[in-house]
Amino acid sequence: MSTSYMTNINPEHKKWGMIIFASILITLLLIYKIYSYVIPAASETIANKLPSSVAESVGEETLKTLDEEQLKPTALSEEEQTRLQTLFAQYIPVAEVKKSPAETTHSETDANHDKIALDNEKYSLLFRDWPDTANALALANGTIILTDKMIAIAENDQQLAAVIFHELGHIEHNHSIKNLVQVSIIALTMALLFGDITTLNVILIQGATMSTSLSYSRKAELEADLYATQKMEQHFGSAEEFINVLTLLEQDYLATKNKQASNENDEHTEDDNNFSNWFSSHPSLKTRIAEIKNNSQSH
Amino acid sequence: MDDQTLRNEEEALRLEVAKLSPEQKKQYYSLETQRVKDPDTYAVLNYFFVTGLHHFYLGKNTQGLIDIVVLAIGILTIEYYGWILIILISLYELPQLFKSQKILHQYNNDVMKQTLNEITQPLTSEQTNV
Repeated sequence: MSTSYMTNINPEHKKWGMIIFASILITLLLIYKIYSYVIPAASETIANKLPSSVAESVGEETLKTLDEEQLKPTALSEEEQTRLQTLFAQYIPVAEVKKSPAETTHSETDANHDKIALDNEKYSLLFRDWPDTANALALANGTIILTDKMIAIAENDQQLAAVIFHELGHIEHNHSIKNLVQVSIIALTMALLFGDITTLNVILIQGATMSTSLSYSRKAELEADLYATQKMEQHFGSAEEFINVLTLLEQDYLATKNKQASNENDEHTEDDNNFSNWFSSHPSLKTRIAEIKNNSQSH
Repeated sequence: MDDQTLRNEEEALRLEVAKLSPEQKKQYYSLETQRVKDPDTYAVLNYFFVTGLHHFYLGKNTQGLIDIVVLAIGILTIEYYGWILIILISLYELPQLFKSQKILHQYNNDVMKQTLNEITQPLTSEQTNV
């Protein structure tokens, strides 16, 4: 654009050009801040204030739906299930309870805390068969589901522990309910902005909620990874086996994906389209391993 | 000013316009069309962007600038109670949204008055001298 054009612009147009530019900039900044701060903060506040019966309900309904539509009874032996349940019991978070002054004995210090195990009913471990799928799920009510293939892929108990800790991280951070609240806030905001729910608006709303939900999901995954890293360090002194199991799972994911891609059957089954793996909404393996190493004290 | 007063004022101004010569009327309407503002545009600019665009629309540049600056500071510091600034500026502008019809009626009446004065202003001595 030549300088003569710029100097010849009507001053009124120049003024409006600057005003509109500033307004667009500020509006984009506002949208970014709403996305990166306001919605997560509001979701966290709302999610933490919801009664536990909500999480119970959501968890139960999710399990019911999964059992009806996706999951089959486990093929694991009773002994193996019992062994894994015993293992799981060791990893359930414990709560610290401060004794009241009246209960504190002379032999205890002022900063003494009594550790008790949380009510075991909050956390439960279930086993299911999900054909060709290595997956672990954490439901809102504290239920963790491990698929048979996930258990088969893990080379040792430490690797299974890493997966369990990751899922416990989701429960401890209340990710399921937070995600539900976030999606609801976004959908409601879009509906209010657009004024009515026509087909196009429904598509736009679903697109917006899905893309932001995936983005928030990846953040949640990194939070759960951090929790798992810390727990692995606490229990085993190293998060190495966490990295190892992630690598094994990615190899399995890629192998299964390639198998489906090279499948010559033209009929797309519902299972093909609903391919679901631990990795589908997770950050890349490179990112996760980098974060684990970053957060691990043993590296 | 209430609605009735504004309507009476507008009516009086229209009667003044009717008394102009055809040449003056032509000049007046040409200027009025360029200068009057639309209340719906004002309301939309207020509703969609709390960046003071509705103030700029009426030529109130200082007020518009204050809006933009306060909003920008509020957004940049949103994690540190900047949201209070955003809420305050939104609440301050909200009455303008509901009074947009009245505000624009007043503005357009003022525009009519000013335009009429320009058209009917006696020629200066410089203009009369050949």
